[in-house]
Amino acid sequence: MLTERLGGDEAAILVFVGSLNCIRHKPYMRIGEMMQEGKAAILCPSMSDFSSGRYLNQIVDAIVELSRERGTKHFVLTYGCQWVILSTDGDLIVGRLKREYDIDVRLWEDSHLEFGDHE
Amino acid sequence: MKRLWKVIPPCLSDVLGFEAVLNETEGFGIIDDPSRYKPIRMGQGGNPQGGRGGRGGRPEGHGLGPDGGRPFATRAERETHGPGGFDRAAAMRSVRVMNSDIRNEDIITGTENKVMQTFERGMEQYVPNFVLLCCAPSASMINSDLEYAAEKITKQSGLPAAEVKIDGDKDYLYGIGTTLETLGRILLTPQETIPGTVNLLGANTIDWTAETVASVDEMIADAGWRVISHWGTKETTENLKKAAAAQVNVVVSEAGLKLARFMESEFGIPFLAGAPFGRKNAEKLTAELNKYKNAEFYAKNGENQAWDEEQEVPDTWPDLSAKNTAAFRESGQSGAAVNATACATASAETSATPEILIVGEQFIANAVRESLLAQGQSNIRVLSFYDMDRAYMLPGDKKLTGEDDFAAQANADSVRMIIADLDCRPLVRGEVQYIGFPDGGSFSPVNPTENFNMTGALLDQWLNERISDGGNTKGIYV
Repeated sequence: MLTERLGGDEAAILVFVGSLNCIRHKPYMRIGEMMQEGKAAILCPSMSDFSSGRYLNQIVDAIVELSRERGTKHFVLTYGCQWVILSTDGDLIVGRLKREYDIDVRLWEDSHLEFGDHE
Repeated sequence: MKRLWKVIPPCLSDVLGFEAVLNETEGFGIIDDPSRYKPIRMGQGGNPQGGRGGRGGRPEGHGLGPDGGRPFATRAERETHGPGGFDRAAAMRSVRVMNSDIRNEDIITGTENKVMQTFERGMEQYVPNFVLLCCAPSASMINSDLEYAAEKITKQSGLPAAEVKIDGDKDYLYGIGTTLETLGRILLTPQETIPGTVNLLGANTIDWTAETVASVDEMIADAGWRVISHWGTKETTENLKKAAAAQVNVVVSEAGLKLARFMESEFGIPFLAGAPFGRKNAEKLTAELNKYKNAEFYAKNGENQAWDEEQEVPDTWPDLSAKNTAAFRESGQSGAAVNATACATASAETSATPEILIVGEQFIANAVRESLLAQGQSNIRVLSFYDMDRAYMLPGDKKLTGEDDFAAQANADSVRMIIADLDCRPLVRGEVQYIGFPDGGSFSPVNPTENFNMTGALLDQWLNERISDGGNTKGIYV
């Protein structure tokens, strides 16, 4: 279910941004396997990281680190509720990563606040 | 990079720890959250023989039996309930938490109405004896006032209610510990001490199997004591309310410490701390409990008086009338003195240059250390990705901040053996003896090690088999 988010791109890595509790949902139950295969990673900013806006830089740093280590420039970024509550400008992050690091990032919208439960 | 998890699967959150506790009680939990809660490990296997059990699957005793609570008793019963013995409907019935179903607009207007509506729904579905509430990350970000909601619930229904201060950002142990403490605060009142009784605190359904809990109960009974309540596994409200009458608390995981300290300060109940896994730890627990049989000894001699191991343990309980009990408590033989000889961390050990790393829940890892020390091993360090308590750490022990932290420890030149979750193995570069160990806290395990009953000598036996297996010191044991 989660691998579908990579859209068939063999080089892509999925990065989830959010709290531990946000990855308790069905699509993430196999994220461990994807992580051990090098196809996924999780960034868990603290509440203070979110409230201070520090998480925006953390996202960029995380993707750049993964890109260097794993030699790919293709990422899919997905997120939890904090991102939505803070009205995060995802396009700004995508633009910065492309402009400064030539990294392509695709956003995957998946907020329970907006869409409710997965079925 | 700190907070970035690239290889090791994430752990269960504090809110899932809250759920794990509530599911084993006659209470009801409200989680201020947009999405609903299912059984903690639903959909991750459920092989009753183990399979992904112990971590990914549902180990026995996780409250998923046909009555929504007890584990499957027989193979036939398991088979009746479908592949892997997993009965989805029964599993869903075992869930005693509901989410408030908040949406974007509630972020602006507040979640109070949704929380109260959830309470109404919960009252229709359950017949709870109490209500606990907590925030998921979204509600926490807008500072939902659940304390006020709890007051309203109590006023409206007469049920004890309180907010558990968690937010979905920490690990399951922190959630279990905070939930148990809050539960104690709303349910317990002073009671006259019943000699020879203990409470078992912190034996939770994520790290402990039902078989292990039963074995520890039996061990305590063999020592002449009676467990009057379990905090963390299946228990009635009636029994939980009796807990303040216990003579001693036995804290078997880090998650039981907050409650133990509350009960010590509020009701003067001393506590012993440590998992009775490994023969030495089990003997220590029994020996420490035996000291309490002779309350008069401490009343006369005070806490600093060394216990004479040869001294005969009385066959009968001393007179613990209210007066004697007070004297016993005033003698200073309370939790602090007991902690100094806590069963899991008694041996002095320096690990400036660790040779062996144990990674896991603190009390279980401490027990493994004690077992290895008893076998002549040395320079052992305990590490954990989960909540740890300083009072039970030895020099060198460490709460890991992330993967980088683990890798730095694991790849130190001095390390020759690692006992940890196999999913951490890819971060270890060198050739070390790596022994896979159960880690119930992982949310999405890939190579789980089956959980097992570690009570008494069973842990020693398990470790011996893996350490000495064929003389192989480089292998990976599953």
